[in-house]
Amino acid sequence: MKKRSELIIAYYKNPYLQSLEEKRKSLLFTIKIIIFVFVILYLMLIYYFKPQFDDATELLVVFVSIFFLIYYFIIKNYKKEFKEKVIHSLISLFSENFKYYPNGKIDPVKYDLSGLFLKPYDKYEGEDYVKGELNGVNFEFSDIHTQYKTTDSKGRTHWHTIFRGTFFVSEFNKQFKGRVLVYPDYSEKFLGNLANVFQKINTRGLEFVKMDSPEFEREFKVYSDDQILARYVLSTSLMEKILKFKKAINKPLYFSFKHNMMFVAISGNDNFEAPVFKSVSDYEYVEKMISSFYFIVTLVETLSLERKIWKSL
Amino acid sequence: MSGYIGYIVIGAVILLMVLMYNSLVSKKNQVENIFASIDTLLKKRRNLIPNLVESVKAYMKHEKELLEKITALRSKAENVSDDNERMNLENQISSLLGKVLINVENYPELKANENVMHLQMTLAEIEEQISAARRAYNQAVTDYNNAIEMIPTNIMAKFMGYQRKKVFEINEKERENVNVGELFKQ
Repeated sequence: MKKRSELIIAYYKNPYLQSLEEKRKSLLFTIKIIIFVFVILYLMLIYYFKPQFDDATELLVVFVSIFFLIYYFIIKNYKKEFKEKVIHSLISLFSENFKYYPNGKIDPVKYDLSGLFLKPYDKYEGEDYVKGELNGVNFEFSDIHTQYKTTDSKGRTHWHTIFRGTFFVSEFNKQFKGRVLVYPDYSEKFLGNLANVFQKINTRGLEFVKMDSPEFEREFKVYSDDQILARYVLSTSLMEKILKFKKAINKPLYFSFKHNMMFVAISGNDNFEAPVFKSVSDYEYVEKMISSFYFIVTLVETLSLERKIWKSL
Repeated sequence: MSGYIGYIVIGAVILLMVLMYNSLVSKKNQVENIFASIDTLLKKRRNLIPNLVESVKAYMKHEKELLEKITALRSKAENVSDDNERMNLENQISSLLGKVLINVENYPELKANENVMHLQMTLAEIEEQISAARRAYNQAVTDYNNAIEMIPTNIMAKFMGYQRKKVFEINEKERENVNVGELFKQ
């Protein structure tokens, strides 16, 4: 397994980087021209037809929508090429046990199984699927976007996001019956101990579990069907390690422990997206992109899930 | 009209008392429940000890005294009826067991013995479960003690004769044991 710095160096040594950067620049130029044309066209239409404010807004929405549609098609190939030529080699360099499928996604069954997001979805999308094995522990993850739709009184459909981010699934090193759910806790930061009262009310049919690590309690809220099980799964050392991961990735985290598996949802994370408005060799971008991938891919190691005490029993 | 208000106030007070009473009882039962689980786990561990002692006795000549002490403590813990004293004995067993398990590492014959390895892992597993149960117990006791001391449930608790309960103290020695446990899991 490679180190993070080695990956960053390898990224810069990629022979395709130069040609991708040229492609990006020409795309950016095209995009700028399109924006310019759109703005002129819009202003001209406003000037000649002098529409009402409402109509002008509606027209703007139409223009912006068309623009994003065009934008999507313009950068589609470039993003695809970036994944094929840069990300692919980066992942196989990291470990030969890792496989990358840009169009793959986590099986929806596993998303449902986690029990983290109970709202039924109407659309399940995903990309950037990685499957691998680290220290004898199998894992997989991909970016996932789940949405549900509503229809308003005018018959228009609106899409609402349930979860958008990276969804991670791996084996867990302890055998148990039951489930433990860990959610990010926003209320405890403001309300302190008083938050526990609200957390006890909203339990999704499970018991609220107050953990004995104050720092963990501040960041997360825990629900389980068994008080002892929750502490068995979330040992003192695992809580510390989860906090370490939380600090590194710095995104809202959801955990589910069930059927001897661990499910982790990293909200707001988007892996392997090629930059459009920044250079592909922009250090800040490269470091961020590789770091978040690195933290996720080494999660199994960070949480020491390789200690399989029961397997040899 | 004022009569109604009187009834409502009395009704509300009774309701509040019932709620407080029930919450105190459920907190007390939670503590007892978890204590029972710890007991079950400790019993499970006690049942493994004779087997372990039997398997390592032949090799661990230098630790003969240690093994005898564990066996003695075990039978003492079996027969003691006082909870506090039993927990005290169990704590001693925990620390001695930890010592035996580290010493196993010094005997290549034992490390090669499948039965011993199996016991070692089972014990490490139970040890983790015990520590989880203790943490759950401590939280339940804290909730219970809070209810007993905080307004307004403290008044009710006084009537019910509820007393503060003690949490498990995890001493430094045991902490070391936990680390020892980590060794075996690798």
